[in-house]
Parts: sequence; C-alpha cells; structure tokens
Amino acid sequence: MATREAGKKMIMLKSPDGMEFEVEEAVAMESQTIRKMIEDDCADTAILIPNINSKILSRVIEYCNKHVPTTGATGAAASDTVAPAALAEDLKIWDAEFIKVNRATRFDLIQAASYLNIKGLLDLTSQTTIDTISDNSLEEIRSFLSTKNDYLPEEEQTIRRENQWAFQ
Amino acid sequence: MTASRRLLPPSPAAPLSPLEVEDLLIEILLRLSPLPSSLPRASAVCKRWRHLISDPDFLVRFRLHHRPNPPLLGFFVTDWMRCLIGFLPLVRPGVPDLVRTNCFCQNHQILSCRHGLLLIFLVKESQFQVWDPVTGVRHLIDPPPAQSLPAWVNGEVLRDARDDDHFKIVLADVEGPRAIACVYSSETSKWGDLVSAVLPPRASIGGPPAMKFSRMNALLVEKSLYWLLFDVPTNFSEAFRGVLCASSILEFDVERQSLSVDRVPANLHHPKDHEISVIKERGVGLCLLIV
Repeated sequence: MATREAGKKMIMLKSPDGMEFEVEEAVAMESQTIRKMIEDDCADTAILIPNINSKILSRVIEYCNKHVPTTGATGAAASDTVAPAALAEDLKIWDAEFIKVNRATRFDLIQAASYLNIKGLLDLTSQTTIDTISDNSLEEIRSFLSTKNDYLPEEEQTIRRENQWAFQ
Repeated sequence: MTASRRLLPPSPAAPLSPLEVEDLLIEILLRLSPLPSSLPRASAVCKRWRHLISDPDFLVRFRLHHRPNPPLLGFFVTDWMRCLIGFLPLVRPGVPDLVRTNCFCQNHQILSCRHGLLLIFLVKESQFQVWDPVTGVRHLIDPPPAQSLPAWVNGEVLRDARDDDHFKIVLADVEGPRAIACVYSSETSKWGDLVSAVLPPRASIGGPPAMKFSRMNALLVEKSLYWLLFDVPTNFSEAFRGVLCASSILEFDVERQSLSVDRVPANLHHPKDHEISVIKERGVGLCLLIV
C-alpha cells in the first residue's frame, strides 16, 4: 500500500502472522534484499516477509530506522552538521541497548539480518554472540551454545597438543 | 489503487538456531577474536567448527574481516648487544611459539612491520626477507637490479589490497634533488620501474634541495604511503645556524605507483629539538603531531 507522506515514499512490509508495517522506502532499503526488489521492479507494492514474525520484524525496522542515513531540510546529510565521530558514538550506544535481548531473540535477529541482508545488524548480532563466549572455556562455550563435543578424548588432546600455546 | 503483493523468495524452513545453519555459523565464527589463539581454540569445540574453520576460503574471509582493526600482539625489538631480534608480547596466551622463539643473525635490520608481515634487511647478503611470524613462512628477495642500496634502507611491506596471499615491498630513498621509489610484487616476483619526484627547494635558505628521511616508519593511509622528510644542512655554517627544521611529506600511491612531495605549511616548521610525526586520523586522513 504505497503512499506518499511529506514527499517520502512509503513501503508496506507484512509479516507472516498478518501484521503490516508501513515504513519509508529509504528505511526498507537498508535491507539489500528489499533494495534489490525495489530497484528491479516498481516500488508500489506491499512485501510479504516470510519466516520473520512481527515481533522480530518490528525490531528489524526499529534498527533500520535508526541506521538509515538522515537528511536535513536542505537535503544535506545530517553528518554535515554533526561530527561523524559523535554520530558514530551515538549509534554505538544505541546498538548496545538494542542488542540487550535474550539469546532466542538474538538468534532470530541473526537469521532475519542474514535473510534480509542487513550487514550492520548481522555484524551487531553475530559479534554479540561471539563476545558472550570469547572469554569462556571450551566446556562453557559448548554448554552455552548447546554444541555437542563429538571429539574422542584422545582427539581433543591431539588438537590441544598441536597448538599448545593457544590453550595456555 | 490496488496494491500488488509480492513475496520475497522463500527463506529456508525456520531452523532451531543459527548455529545449525552453516552460512550463519560462518558469519558468527568470522567474528571470533583476531588473536592467533582464537581459531585453534574454537576448532577444539567440535568437529563441525574445526571443519568450517580449516576451510581456506573461511581463513581468507577471516583475515579480510579483521584487517581494518588488526590486534596489537606485541613489539619486535632489535637487541644490538646480543645481535638478535626479539619479540615482546603484549598478550598471553595468543602468540604462537614461532613468534616468541625466533632469533636473527647479526646485521639484520627490521625495516617494517605491517599486515602481519615483517620486512627485514639482511645487510651482509644485501637481500630482503619478508617473514610471516604466525605461519613461519619466509621469502628472500634480491634487491632491485642495478640499484645500489644505501646502508640504511627505507623499506615498507604491505599485503596486496585485493589478494591476501600476496604482498608488496616499497623502497624509498632520496637521491640528490629527487625522491625515488621502487615496488616489488610477490605476485610477479619482480621489481617495478623506478619512479621519482623532484624535491622542493630548501624552504628556509633557498638553494637546491637537500633532504633526508625522518626516523619514523611510513604511514599507510588508504592506498598511499607517507614519509616525513627534513631539510638537511649542506655545510658547516648551515648546520651551525640550525636549519634542520623545514619538513615535507613524501607520498607514494602504491596502486598508481606515483610519487609526490609536498611542503608542510610554513607555520608548522619547527625548532630542531622538537619531534614531529605524521599520524593517521579517522575521517580526516593525515595529521601532523608536533611535540
């Protein structure tokens, strides 16, 4: 249901559970998957996003809204008036708050970011996952990520011996 | 208006966790810490992780992902008393034994350290050595043909921007009134042609140019290397008056293989006993730091 508000082109995104989200085209185009669709065809459509429920889709849109490059009344990029370093710092703080979610939601966001091809969100969600385990022991990593250790004890010993310096 | 409704291409059936989807697991593993210990440790988690991490394509992606912000593992230092090069680690664990236990012979000079590679000048043999301390791979390279090397060479090493397996060596020098540079590419195993740029006249007292390199290593910003040059006195009287103050920046564009020299602004010329450095500033490019 494409409409125009204050000169901004709108796109309708639909989740499989029937929720509709009207977003600015520029915001939707933070997703490279959607961008390609818009660029290949006309944009006057509603787009159904399969497999991403409304709860996750609304978070994704929230992320894209924050990260879309903003423009002022004159059309000049906002970064012309605000120092790029300050903007980046602002976004970093916002991202840190945004990603304070439980593991299941974060995993859903990773899948959504990958499917919709939103590099910044994929970076944020994947990096947060790795950061939560980086200081842990192998046993803790396996337990946290529900990954089964399928090495025989002697196989694991060999791997540890090969790169002993890495396990000190 | 009736809206047409389109479906995105169907996504795979919703899996339990991204850790079970190979592409997503790779995305997550790419963001493991860039410390050398992180991949050997992760490969001990389970066979699947080891399989993914050992894939050469993954390793290339891993290096490229971390290239903009490589970790500082430590410092290489030359021990002149014992005539060897040692390594002072800043992180433990995280540095393989190869790096820690390496010794060198007399007359080996460290010229440059960048992108995980070390460029060493073997004075006696008049050869260059490029060493990857993490993998232990060494390359010996003869100097450019028909080019006599000065006792102290200004050399820099950098990995190829597009191909992580290859590297380049850039030599730079001042030869009378001009700066010269020459590039070796490991891809072709050859030195390129000599390129040169005319040096500006000496700022403070005029006359033909006479310059030397500062002690600092070159700075790599985007595709260019930058060195700091100083005017040098050409006779006792000039030395006595202390004219060693006007500076220039030598730029070598590695991609276009072009050399240029620019004077720093006159109000930044500094007294002899001050230190001046060119530093990289995010979003700006180059800065001059005067202490």
